[in-house]
Amino acid sequence: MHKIILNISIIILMTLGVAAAQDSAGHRVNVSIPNVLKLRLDNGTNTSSASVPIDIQVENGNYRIDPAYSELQIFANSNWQLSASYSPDSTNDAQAQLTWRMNDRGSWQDFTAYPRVLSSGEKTQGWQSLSIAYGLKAPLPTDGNYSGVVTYTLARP
Amino acid sequence: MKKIFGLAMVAVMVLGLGAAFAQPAAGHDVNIRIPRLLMLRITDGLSNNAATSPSVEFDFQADATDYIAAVNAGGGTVAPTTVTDFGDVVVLANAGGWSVGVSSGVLSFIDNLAVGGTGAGIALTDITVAPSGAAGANVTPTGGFNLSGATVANGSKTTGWESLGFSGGDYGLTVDGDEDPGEYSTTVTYTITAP
Repeated sequence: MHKIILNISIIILMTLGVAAAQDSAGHRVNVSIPNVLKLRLDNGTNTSSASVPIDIQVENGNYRIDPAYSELQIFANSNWQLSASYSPDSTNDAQAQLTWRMNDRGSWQDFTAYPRVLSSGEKTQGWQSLSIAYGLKAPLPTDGNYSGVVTYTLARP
Repeated sequence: MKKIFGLAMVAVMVLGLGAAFAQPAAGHDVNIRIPRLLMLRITDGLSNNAATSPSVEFDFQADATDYIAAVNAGGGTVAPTTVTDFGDVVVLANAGGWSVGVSSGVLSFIDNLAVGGTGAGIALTDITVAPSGAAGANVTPTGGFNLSGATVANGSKTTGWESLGFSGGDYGLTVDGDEDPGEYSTTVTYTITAP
């Protein structure tokens, strides 16, 4: 019986020893990450929308568009969609039907006056590049100069 | 007869004086028992008192400037936006052989922006500490560490409270843009132990 009590006493003493041989202190760490949707046009400043003035010259069945491309970069840490619209500067300018094609792949698509989804995706894990080429839909308008503005908007779906 | 009486009186007086000049004494033992002390505190850096509610905040929903800048650069480590009551971590040990470890609870996630994320993109290993202060004379820091669990310092018998050489301002969050939007939080614990 004495031996059992002695053993228990030793265990208690050992436990007290361990308890006394450490100390601790804690604190909270809080991280708040915003929803980031950024659009960068031709390596310009970050924004959620960007406008590109378009100048079109039609002559003898050929045309030249300035710029011929827009280089877009998208950063998103959530789902995103890129929309675009085209606003001719005047009724006369509307004769030139602007079209687009992404990354030199796929068929040419019409720009519309209302925003139309060009692309969408999940978080980009950094900047994702897109190249938008501009073209004119046949039949071409009469020779002359035409202009308008393409507006890109990046938003959550 | 008178002579005998006189001698007797002198003898009595001498004995009496002897009794009066005897010095009484009492003693006691003094025992001192010093416990093994291992103490650790997070302080405000101004005193060695334990801080009330230390915290480190990376609130990029309130101000996304640094977060966006890091992402634009292709990734990087951003500093806390707010450090509260966390100016130092100090230890007191009256024997050597101690070490301090860091551990963290689960990194919880709340989709407070209702974006639909799950908390992917941030792990405890992304929260780092790069000690920039001077450690105590008897403290040997192990260098930079993250919150996934590590030994952050060890040392010998300290002279009172000694600093581990870092504060909440030395925390950093490594980001690269793949972080789900939302709120993340955890509790970090520093523990001093000895064999």
